Amino acid sequence: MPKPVNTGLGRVLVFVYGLFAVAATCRATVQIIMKFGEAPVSYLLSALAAVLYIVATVGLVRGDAGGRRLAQACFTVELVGVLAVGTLSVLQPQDFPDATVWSGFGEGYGYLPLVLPVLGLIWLRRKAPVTAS
Amino acid sequence: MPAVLSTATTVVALLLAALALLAAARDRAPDRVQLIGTVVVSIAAVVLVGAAVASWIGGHSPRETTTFLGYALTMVLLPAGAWIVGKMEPTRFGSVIIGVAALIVPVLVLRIGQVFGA
Repeated sequence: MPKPVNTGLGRVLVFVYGLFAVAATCRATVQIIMKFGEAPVSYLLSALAAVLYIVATVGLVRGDAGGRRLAQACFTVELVGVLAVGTLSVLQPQDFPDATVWSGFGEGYGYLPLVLPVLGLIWLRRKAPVTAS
Repeated sequence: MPAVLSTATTVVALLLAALALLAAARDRAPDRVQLIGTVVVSIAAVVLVGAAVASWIGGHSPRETTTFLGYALTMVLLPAGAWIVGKMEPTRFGSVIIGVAALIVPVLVLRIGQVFGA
């Protein structure tokens, strides 16, 4: 029986991820409805980030093998996304007329978008059945 | 939106954050003191949002209505929500949840000030 991933520090991750899911979804929705034409790429990226946060939260709350894999996949895509968008937004700011959650490696959100997937991946590894002590 | 209300909300939220994170460092689950802190922060948040809405009714409308409403709703619900989730986790990590939520409140106060345009 693997140790649960949705208690202890996992519950903190669920809370923060849930908050990010709500925040990113609202932000992306407002941006897409009110001013999609201004920066479609930025707003679609915001929406993608929102979906990832929602799915990661659901995966963590479920906490079974499937949920764990789901969360792991989301964390991985998030990490790649925040690194790629962060680097691009620094090198080619003209491609991103409006900020996304991932711009500047998540600087608008206290770098949490960069820290959270790393923390999540470490947490899932620590709690993996093979390494559980 | 009176600056004194923003300052007061920020101060009580930071106090609660310090309290809760200190409790987490000492391996304590959420206790009565944190509950009182959460109630105080909630009241401050409601008063702040109330004052903003009152000045909105008085003719000073926010620069971005939807965004303002989103932040206001989040700030009013966040402390109570954190308390509920924190109580589900009767370990030091419950205190971490309340501490993290309390740290987010000052950010929301700042953003509300920005979208409301003092």
